[in-house]
Amino acid sequence: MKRPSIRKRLILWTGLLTGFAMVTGILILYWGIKKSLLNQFDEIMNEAASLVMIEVEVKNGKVFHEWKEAIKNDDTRRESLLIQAWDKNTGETFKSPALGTGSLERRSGALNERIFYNLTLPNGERGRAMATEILPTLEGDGNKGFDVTKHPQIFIWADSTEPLLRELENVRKNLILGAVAFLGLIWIAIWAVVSKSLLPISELSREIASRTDDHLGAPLPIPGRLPVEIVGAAENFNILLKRIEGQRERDREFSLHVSHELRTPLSGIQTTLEQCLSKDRSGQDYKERVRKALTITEGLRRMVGRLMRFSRLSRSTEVIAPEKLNIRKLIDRQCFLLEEQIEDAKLKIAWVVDQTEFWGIADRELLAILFANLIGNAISYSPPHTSIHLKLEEDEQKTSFSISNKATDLCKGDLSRLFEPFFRQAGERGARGDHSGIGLSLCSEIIRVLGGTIKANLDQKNTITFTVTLFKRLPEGNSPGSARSG
Amino acid sequence: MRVLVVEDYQPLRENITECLLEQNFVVDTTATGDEGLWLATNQLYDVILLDIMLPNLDGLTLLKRLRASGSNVPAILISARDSVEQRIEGLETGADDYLVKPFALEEMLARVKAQIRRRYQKKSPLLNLDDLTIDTQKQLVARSGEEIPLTRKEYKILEYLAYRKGEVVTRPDIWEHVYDDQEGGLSNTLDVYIGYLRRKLNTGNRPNLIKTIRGRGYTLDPEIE
Repeated sequence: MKRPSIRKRLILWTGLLTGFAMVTGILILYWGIKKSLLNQFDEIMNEAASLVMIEVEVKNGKVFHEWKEAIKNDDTRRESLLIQAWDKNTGETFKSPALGTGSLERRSGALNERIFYNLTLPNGERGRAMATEILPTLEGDGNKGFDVTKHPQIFIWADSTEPLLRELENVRKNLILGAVAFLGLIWIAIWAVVSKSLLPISELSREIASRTDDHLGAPLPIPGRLPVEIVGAAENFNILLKRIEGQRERDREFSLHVSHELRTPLSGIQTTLEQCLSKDRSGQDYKERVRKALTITEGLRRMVGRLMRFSRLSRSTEVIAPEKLNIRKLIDRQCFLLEEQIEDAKLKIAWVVDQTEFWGIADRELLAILFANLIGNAISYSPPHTSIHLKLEEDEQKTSFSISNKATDLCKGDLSRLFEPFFRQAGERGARGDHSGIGLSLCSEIIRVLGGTIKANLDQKNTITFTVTLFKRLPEGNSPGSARSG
Repeated sequence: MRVLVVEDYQPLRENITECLLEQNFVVDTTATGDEGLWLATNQLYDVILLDIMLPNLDGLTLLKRLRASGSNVPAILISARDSVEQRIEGLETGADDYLVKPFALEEMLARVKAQIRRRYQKKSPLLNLDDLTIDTQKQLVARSGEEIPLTRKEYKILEYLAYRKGEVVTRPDIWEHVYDDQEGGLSNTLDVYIGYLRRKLNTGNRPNLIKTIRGRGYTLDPEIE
């Protein structure tokens, strides 16, 4: 996929727009100059023609074109002035000598109205003409009764515009050359400015690319000259890096804990067997030591199982099989399985409700793990001769399960960390039974997969309550028998 | 020699302790960091075996606080953290050695003994004093090449005195390094054992190596008459 380039876009579009603006400006300027010069030309032509036109006179009741005689006697004017006139009634025409055998096109406007137009002169040059209809002027006393209005004359004055147009062509050429040069300079300037503006982005990019694996999460240094438009993106990138680093740190911590939880029992097995073989022992002693190693192995097996389950749940690869379940029955079953532990710990299980049927849709196995973990946890951390209270509530949308017990060695500050993997309350490993440290994390992941919620609350009397809410409709994507999608 | 084992995993703690006891070490154990720190600052140890991930107070913090209090007791970290960075972190915190789980007890023992030798500036596991030779590896004592059978307690006392050859070692000092807290005993128990030792070591009119420094304690030094 071809990516758009900021540099190319800026250079191209700024250049094009600047070029367009400049060409438009130059055209306006050129046409302004041209119009002004032609107006000036027309004005001069009009003034000169006006002086000649008064020389169309009526003498003794007859129209005379006196200008012809005046031109004839003036060498300069004779060779340069291009004038032609017509008597509108008779069609008789009068020409200046410079026209020679050629003739000007006859045209005119209304009486005394001047019209200006371009034309090709008889000698082939480009020219401009002024045409008008005039009335002759009465000259002397012998014109009594002569009505000039009945003798209109068409008068055309033409002049070559070749020198003016050549000058204009020069102006146009110079303007085009200047515009091209200026546009080139503008383009170079834009390229330099854009390149310089984008340089910090390249530096930032190089800084990102040069990151080594052990510095991936360190924030990017934001150079002081980084454009303000990019600073926001860079700062957001740093926030993202911080979040990624936080996640990596949690993953590292998790790996450390996993490593610790697996290597420590392995050490237990190795040292138990080493001690077993360190000297000759009685058969009974051997048996006890091998049994001890097997117990550790069993614990290790359970830990690996829990870690695998936790990993599948967190990575969204756990296959779930939702079904309609009597949640009360499932909890009672878990209590029955833990009966011996409950008795050993001198505890009592007390249901707050009598109702025996609470229905919900969930995966039976996952829910069994969830309840076993929560109840097992309560058994391990409750002081003897206390009760564990169980409560179920439901409405049309959801079923809520609460489990409350007296908490020892737990403070409010611990609540937020309870669901973190391997968070343990202060106390010896194993002193509270077979707790891997990921039971509540597993519960949290199970609830996430089932689309419910889990909360922990510690009250003033140091009673901790875990509340699990399961919705009666599974979240989308959790179809029966399918791997859950992320 | 007295060793403190701070490890929260019961089977491992028990095995280490048993192994050390079989090697005539006096061993104190605890499963929590805070208790470990208390013991380490209130008792004289020759080596501390210290897990890192401990309840209440982690091993590295324990070690930092111990070093901050001025203690230079050799500490061997035992941990599942095996990366170079983690080992460096442990050693830079003040540990003298680093043992990665799972480990062989033999290796652990060798490292503990090496730390003790370093502590008492001995390069070899053989301690020689005049014609007396103590093989700390095999726990054998010989004089002029002739092996002398000793009880565990006698060996412990002799080994400790040999490590501190030439120094005057007080009775409480010997008591702390050689006796279990639970053993109890009368105030003259040590004198009785010293008497036994002298008798066994001085057979055949050999010169007496264990001298009594009146009002202070004992010293193992052939130069003093």
